[in-house]
Amino acid sequence: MGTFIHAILAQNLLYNSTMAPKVSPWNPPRHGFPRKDAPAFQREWQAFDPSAVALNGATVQALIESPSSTLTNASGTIYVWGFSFVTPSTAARGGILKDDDGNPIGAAVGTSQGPYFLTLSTPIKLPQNSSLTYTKVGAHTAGSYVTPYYIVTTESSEEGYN
Amino acid sequence: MPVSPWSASSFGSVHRDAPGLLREWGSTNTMFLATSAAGGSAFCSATGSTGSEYPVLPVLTAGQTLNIFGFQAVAASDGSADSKSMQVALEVTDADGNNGVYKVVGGATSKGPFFQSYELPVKIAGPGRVRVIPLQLGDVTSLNYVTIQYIIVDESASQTQ
Repeated sequence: MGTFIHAILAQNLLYNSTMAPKVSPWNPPRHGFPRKDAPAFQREWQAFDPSAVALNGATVQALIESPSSTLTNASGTIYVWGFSFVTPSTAARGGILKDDDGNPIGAAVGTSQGPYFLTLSTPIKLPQNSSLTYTKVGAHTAGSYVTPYYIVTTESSEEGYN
Repeated sequence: MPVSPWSASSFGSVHRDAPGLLREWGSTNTMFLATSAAGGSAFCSATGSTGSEYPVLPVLTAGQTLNIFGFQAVAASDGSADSKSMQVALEVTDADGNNGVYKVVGGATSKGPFFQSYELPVKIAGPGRVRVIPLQLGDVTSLNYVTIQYIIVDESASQTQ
């Protein structure tokens, strides 16, 4: 009987150690860092600094550079809160936003009659040090733009409040 | 304990350190722009085409931030050809009008307006000028409008305008 109970306890311990969330959304960590552990906290602490990117004809274009390439001795993470796509074309134009590994995070398609625009209440987190790119599908008309809305957290800001 | 948006917290100015709190404590002003003029519409520019229905705000000074929570564009052009849509850019320059950067580009026709609200504000720090410039006017320009919801904060004094 005792062995059986010990087996059940061990199983529960194993279950809890593998299934319990690292950070509970219901109990903010006493020693945690809200912007890192709870990305939605960026709503309180951050602001957007977007830049519209003209789609100039290249099949793949960089929208946001990797934090490690833009900052000296730093690594960081890009959080995408949304993006918009506009084109003057009467024919549908569009493409796919991807991270460095080629994983798509979203697609935007629009015409002059209907641009694409989106902001999220919870951000999309890219892998650490990943950049954000746009891969066009088909030809694009001059005057097509993508505007990503994003936050970049660096190691220094992820570890504190700087 | 209540938190006042007007006084500094123990970790610094509320507005400077936590711009998202503007959502909790602020209400936006609205700037209504007619973008028909080829030179664009002044916003925080002091000079430039102004239209006739709105004032022009001063150039952003050091310490001031323009926090944009919404950006809408509407037009009457029917969009039946590539040249018949309106496209506008929110351009930010330095204080003397140079080194312009497009922060947001929006497009619209009579069948597809552009209306975006932001979960976090688009923050533009002074000193600088801000204007909306047309990249393409479309064929019907009498109803080309851009509306922007914004809060200007003087962070050096922790006051909103």
